[in-house]
Amino acid sequence: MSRKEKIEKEVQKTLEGFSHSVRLKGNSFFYTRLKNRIDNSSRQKRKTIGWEFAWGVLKPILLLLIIVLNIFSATLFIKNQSSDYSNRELLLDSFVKELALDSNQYNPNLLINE
Amino acid sequence: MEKIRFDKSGSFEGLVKLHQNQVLNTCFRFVNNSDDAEDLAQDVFMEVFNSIDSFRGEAKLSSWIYRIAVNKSLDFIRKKKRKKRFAFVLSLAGFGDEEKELQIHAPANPHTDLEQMERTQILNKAIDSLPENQKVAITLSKYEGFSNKEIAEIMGTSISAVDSLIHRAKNNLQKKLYKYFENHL
Repeated sequence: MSRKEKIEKEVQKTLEGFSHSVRLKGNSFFYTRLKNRIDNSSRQKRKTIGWEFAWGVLKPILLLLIIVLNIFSATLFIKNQSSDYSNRELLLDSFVKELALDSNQYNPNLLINE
Repeated sequence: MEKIRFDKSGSFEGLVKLHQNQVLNTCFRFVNNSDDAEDLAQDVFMEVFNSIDSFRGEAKLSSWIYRIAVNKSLDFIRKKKRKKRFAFVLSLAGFGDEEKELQIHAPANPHTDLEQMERTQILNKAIDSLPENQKVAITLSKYEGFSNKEIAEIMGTSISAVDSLIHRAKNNLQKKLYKYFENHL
């Protein structure tokens, strides 16, 4: 038998391996295992859905709360600023009166140190 | 249009029992490891369960299931190859641990079985080196005994394309094996 024939015979024998292939037999607990996995994943999914729902409800509430807090703090800030301003006005008025800055006369109090 | 509906606890069991062996073996042909094949088969049925509503009944339900099995197996192989490449790069850099080689069970009849096993390994290696679509076509045809029409449905292609793929795969296999034995005889 020539070398070429030998090689061809080997190739043929190897290709016959398709029909000699071993077939696996399914595990008898295959479905039980699968069912467990499905149950676990649906439980997980339900949990996720619960969180998603909670987050879906919580999100607008949180957003609303933040907006309300912002408005509240803004009004508080503006109110304080305006009262500050009126305080400052009062203070200025009293200084003006005290030091008689609105009159044309000399204020003797200012001349003490001179 | 055939719309498949099943009560998700009742007849699903029947569906699994009907196809579990073929799905398991289809996965096994691609991954060559029984544990990985079983995990993949589980993943296949999980996907079937979760996406049965998206099955439009354009192909047979079985073809749809085997298509999922083939896709999952190919994804698994791609991931494994990526991991191997990464491990190789790591080992070159001095990190990473060596990957365990595939464990082969001892044969019952040492002489004949060992020879057969060696031949199977050579054949599997040759099949692995084929282009992906040729590999799928020849594996489904020769190992799993699917008809060309069924393979066309599974692969989402025409029957003539499957014919051509199988023909090319056979030629390539013959060439590869010839080359192998030329060097090893």
